[in-house]
Amino acid sequence: MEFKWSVVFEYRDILLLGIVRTAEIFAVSTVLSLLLGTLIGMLRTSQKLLLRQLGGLYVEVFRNIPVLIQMMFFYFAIGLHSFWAAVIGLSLYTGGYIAETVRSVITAVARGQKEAALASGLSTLQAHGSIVLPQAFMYAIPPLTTELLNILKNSSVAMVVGVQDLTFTAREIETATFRGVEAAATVTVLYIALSAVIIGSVGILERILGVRAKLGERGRRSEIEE
Amino acid sequence: MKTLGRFQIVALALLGLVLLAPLSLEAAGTSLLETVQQRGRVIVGVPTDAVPFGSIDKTGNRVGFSMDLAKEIADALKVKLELRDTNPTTRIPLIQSGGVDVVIEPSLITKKRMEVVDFTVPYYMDLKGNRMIVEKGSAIKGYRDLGGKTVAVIQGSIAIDRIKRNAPNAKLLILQDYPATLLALKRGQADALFAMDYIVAEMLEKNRGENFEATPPLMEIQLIGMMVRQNDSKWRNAIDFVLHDLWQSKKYHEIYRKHFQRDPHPNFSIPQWEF
Repeated sequence: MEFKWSVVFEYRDILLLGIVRTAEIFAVSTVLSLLLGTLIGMLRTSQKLLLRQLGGLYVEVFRNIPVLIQMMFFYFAIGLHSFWAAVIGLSLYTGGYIAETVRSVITAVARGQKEAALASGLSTLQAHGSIVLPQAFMYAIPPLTTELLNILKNSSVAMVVGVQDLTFTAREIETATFRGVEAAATVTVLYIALSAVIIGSVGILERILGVRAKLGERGRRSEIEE
Repeated sequence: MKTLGRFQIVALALLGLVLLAPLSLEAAGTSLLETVQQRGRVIVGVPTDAVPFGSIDKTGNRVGFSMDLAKEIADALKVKLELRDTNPTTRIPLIQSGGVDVVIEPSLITKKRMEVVDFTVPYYMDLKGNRMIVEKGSAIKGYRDLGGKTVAVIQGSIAIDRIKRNAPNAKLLILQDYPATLLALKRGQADALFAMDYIVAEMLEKNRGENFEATPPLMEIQLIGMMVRQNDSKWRNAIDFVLHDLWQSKKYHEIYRKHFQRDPHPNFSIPQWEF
């Protein structure tokens, strides 16, 4: 069995379309699932029992239904356009995971922080917005990176509802040329490259925020020492 | 940049695995015929979801036209039969890697496929070709009615090439399996479902009472062969000769009638060599 890498190059146009489609699903799903996850995560840490239960219900439902089933549900049962069926299925699913991450990092921020914020006259919303969440966000970066990578990989399921993403493209090249190994190896490398871009971007973000956080920490520490 | 460095190593390692794995499976210069006889076992790839070629019955047994032909081949070669599940995505890679000795799927003989595998003599032919499932009373009867319409097909099927050639303005909804195409049709995501005649018949049979009908057959030739690895004529001949003998002894007709409930097409015969 010999390899012919040039066949993959001949299909660079549809490969590019596949990358773009995968990037689109990733971008929209990331925004939606971060918003949703943060919201649900905050509900999960609410002092009101009903809100906590609502958040819990969301997590148990959407985190526990396979993403494949969710996409098929939104496509075949609800009748959404295939792209939106994929994005919404993926966002609701990942939202459940992110909500758990958000919940755990909010509870990780020392309770005293919130109490101090409230004691100094901030409203609950202000205390969350300017004291708890910014600190929680720093803790959340590493686990959220994992979730972002999961969004990228799970986006490959979208081809079951007819989305022509990167994985679909690989099969398309395979069925057109019967060069399955070359096609699979190519998209493997492309997925790794896309993951590297995500990890790199988060790394840069973390460094920028980390420098700021350290400065803040030093500020606080010096106050204490004084 | 430490993270990126680690990633590059992983990438290279994966790439290496992907590249080297098939090499180890490369067979030596002997014909598969000898390998099969030494092994005492022939490994045949048959479908599990293509009635009447190959499917699994309620008791979990494999049944079908492909399955019965596989048995005949094993008997004629005086070896044991080992069956492997194959599907349109795996059958060619399995032939190439040596995972199966021969694939008996309803695979159309095409020039494109012949660039990577060899085909035996055709073992099945019909002239009905493809058909479409549409809603009852739909205006879609053939290719010319497909302009602007969405047609559900499965990825990798020859149907896609035929639609692109005959109805370039049709929109394709490319899904992964036949149940999904039928669901898309039921939910209005597609206007028509395009598949081979016998698959259409099977799907309508299982959905009797629903508001669907089949268009008339599009009358394209379906010439189907078994796939074997390339450049091994000794092995291909061995199977061709079995098919030849099955036709001559009329055993072929018997098996055919059992699964298709009709006689082979009058214009079809497995080539017969007098000497």
